[in-house]
Amino acid sequence: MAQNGLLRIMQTLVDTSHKSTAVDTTSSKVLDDGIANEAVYQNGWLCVLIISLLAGLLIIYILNRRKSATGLEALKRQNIDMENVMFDIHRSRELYNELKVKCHPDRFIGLDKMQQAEKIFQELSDNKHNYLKLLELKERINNEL
Amino acid sequence: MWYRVIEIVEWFGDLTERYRLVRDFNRAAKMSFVSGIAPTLLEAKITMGESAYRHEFSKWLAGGFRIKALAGRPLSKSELIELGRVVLDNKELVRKLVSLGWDTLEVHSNEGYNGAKWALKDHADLGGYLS
Repeated sequence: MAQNGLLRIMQTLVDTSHKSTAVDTTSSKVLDDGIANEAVYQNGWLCVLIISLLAGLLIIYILNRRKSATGLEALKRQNIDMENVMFDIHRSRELYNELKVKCHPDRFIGLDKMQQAEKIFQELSDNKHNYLKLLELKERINNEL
Repeated sequence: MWYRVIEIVEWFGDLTERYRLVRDFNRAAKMSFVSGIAPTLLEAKITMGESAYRHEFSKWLAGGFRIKALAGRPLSKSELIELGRVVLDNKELVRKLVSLGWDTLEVHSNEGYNGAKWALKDHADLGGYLS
């Protein structure tokens, strides 16, 4: 619909410009001021209409962009990293089984690192299915225990 | 009249989001299967869902998010539960599913008749905050 409207506007613009040139060529000496003025008047209004339409579209575009960049819309459009989900599904169990043996508190009975091991083991149990977190914990286990 | 137009636009927006999520899941599953990360090929589908698990934002006749595992054998109960638990432990994903109108998570294998299903609203930690 909007395209049809724009096409009609363009058509009338072309028609009016033809009309004004025809007037100029046929009456080379005496210019019909009335017709010419009318054409200029119409052209002016059409220009104003097109400019205001474009300005309106620009404002809507800017507002939408701002809304999507900062508001809840951005959160809604934010995609979940499905690759991580796939790692969680297929790799987390294996890694968890490996790490729970490494940092089980029973291995540190009577040692200084007992408390740290308990803490890490607790965290490990809480993030059983989070592959990225498990990788972080693996690094911690390697460094701290 | 305008609020009707906005409602229609939002409805289509949600529909796009839903299909995008399913498509992303399937694409990631396919890529992980091809690259050898995953031993089974997973596939997400939109199903009718369980009427007992419905909530206020459920989509009519499209409230089920089914994950089908193409394992070539019937999956055991523990495997089905493990697969479902991984998805349910991802709070962000569960909340997104709930907000997009899903109410049931279903896990099935391509063979056998066993499956598992959960009510998403019970695992979305409603009333709490995301950490």
